[in-house]
Amino acid sequence: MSEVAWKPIVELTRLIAAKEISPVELVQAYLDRIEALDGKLRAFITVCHDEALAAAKAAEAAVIDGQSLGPLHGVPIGLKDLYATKGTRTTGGSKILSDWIPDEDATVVARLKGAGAIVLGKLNMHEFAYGPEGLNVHFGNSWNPWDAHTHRIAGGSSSGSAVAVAAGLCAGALGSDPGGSIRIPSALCGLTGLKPTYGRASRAGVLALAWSMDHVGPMTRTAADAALLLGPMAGYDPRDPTTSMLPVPDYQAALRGEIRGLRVGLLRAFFLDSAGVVLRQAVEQAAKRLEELGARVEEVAMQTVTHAAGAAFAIVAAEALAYHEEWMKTRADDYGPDVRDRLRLGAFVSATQYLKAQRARQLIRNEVDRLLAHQDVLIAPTTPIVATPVGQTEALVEGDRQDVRSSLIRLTRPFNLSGHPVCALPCGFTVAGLPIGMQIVGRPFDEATVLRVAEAYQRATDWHTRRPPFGQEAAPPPPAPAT
Amino acid sequence: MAALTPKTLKRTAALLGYGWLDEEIDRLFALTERSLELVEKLDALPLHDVEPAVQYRML
Repeated sequence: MSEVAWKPIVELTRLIAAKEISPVELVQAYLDRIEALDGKLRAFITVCHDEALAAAKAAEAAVIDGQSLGPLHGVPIGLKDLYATKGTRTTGGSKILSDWIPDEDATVVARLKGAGAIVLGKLNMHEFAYGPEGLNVHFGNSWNPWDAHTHRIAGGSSSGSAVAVAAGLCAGALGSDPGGSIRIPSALCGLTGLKPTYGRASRAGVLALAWSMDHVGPMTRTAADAALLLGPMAGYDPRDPTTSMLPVPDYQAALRGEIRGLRVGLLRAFFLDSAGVVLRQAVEQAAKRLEELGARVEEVAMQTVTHAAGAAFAIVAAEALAYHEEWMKTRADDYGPDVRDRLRLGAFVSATQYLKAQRARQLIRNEVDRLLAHQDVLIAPTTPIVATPVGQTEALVEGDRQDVRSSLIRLTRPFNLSGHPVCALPCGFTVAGLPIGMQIVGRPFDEATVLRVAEAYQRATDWHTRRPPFGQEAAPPPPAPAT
Repeated sequence: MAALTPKTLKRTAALLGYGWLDEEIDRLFALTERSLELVEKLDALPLHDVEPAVQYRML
């Protein structure tokens, strides 16, 4: 039964509707894996054992009764523990909210449940989403399942979401992305992660790090699965005034399109040039693969990107401290030391510096729009480095010592500033077996094209089908020879 | 802009209602200095006619 834990959501929904898999058996299979593996992986903060089984029984009854099924009927998912869940504690990965039980679901959680999804549990994360390593002093550090022997970071801040999906502890998960927090752990754990356009999916009921930078989105094994989760999540929400009223397209239908003739801009300066040689070659190979599929690839450059770090710092630091001001005055000792120090930096950003950063952000957005006036999508590495051991603060990139934290967010945060949709997906592995990720950037609200390119690439490659060594069952014995 | 010192950081924090200890300020100083240098570099951008991305709108 454990084999079913690795199946893509698209296949699970078909098997459930055809009564070939029972939602109860499926939920139990994941619960068994969580029980067996999560003591070391630390993907979950809260496992919703009884609630998930009750929901699965109701889902099973609906299938047997021949009722109309939602697009995610019976699919077990995990939620980063900053999505409010009615009746289930929502900690934000913090001691401060360790006992908070919301009285309503976040909008996207309610919508996914309405589409038939079953919540298996709440997932580990960097405290209050303020760290790209995905570490947590309160609930333990998630273990990247791609290295069974060395404790490596999963990437963050949505570390538990990535580990849970990568290790086959749930079918898909939600992350959030203020500076790369969906895409970085997706890259480091070999997953597909989608940061939709700012305003495409509601942030209502999701704990904020920085209101103007936060994005919510799915983390899955395939682009087709990401499309399936995005459908119910997307759309206007009166509880989030930044959501768009633009209609939500049929993302599943969009996957079936060709990419022949599509224009792909390869970001070399700053992006490819920042990455280690193995990662650079993997993304260049991916660009060649897209060319073989009929796309036209040309190199492009983004001039304003060198200012992304300064603009993102001023915006995130100021907004984060504003959000946490009350707790920082009354419960500062309850924060982990790293997050407390990062929050303190916001005290030294002036109002004029904040607004200067928001003006710079407009220039960055304008430049990405200009590039995408001539290209259908842009591609780049997701991170310049692969997963590092926990506790390692520097990484060698082409002989240069680089700060791990700064490196992790270097290539993702420009698109939090610009707000464009981005899909991260695996495009190779190092010789040590660690995943390498690339990101595909699209025009505002054109998630359909981004997902179409990602899905076309995944139809032509098998990186996304590989499984990490941690948590694998022993290979079944070969069949006995016929006598 | 006046040179940043641990003393100015402590005074700024106090004005905002935070009573951080000297050793905490010392720990933050280098990172604050590096981060604000990045923000100062935004002055190189042609921002004169650019409005901030966050505005109040009557929808």
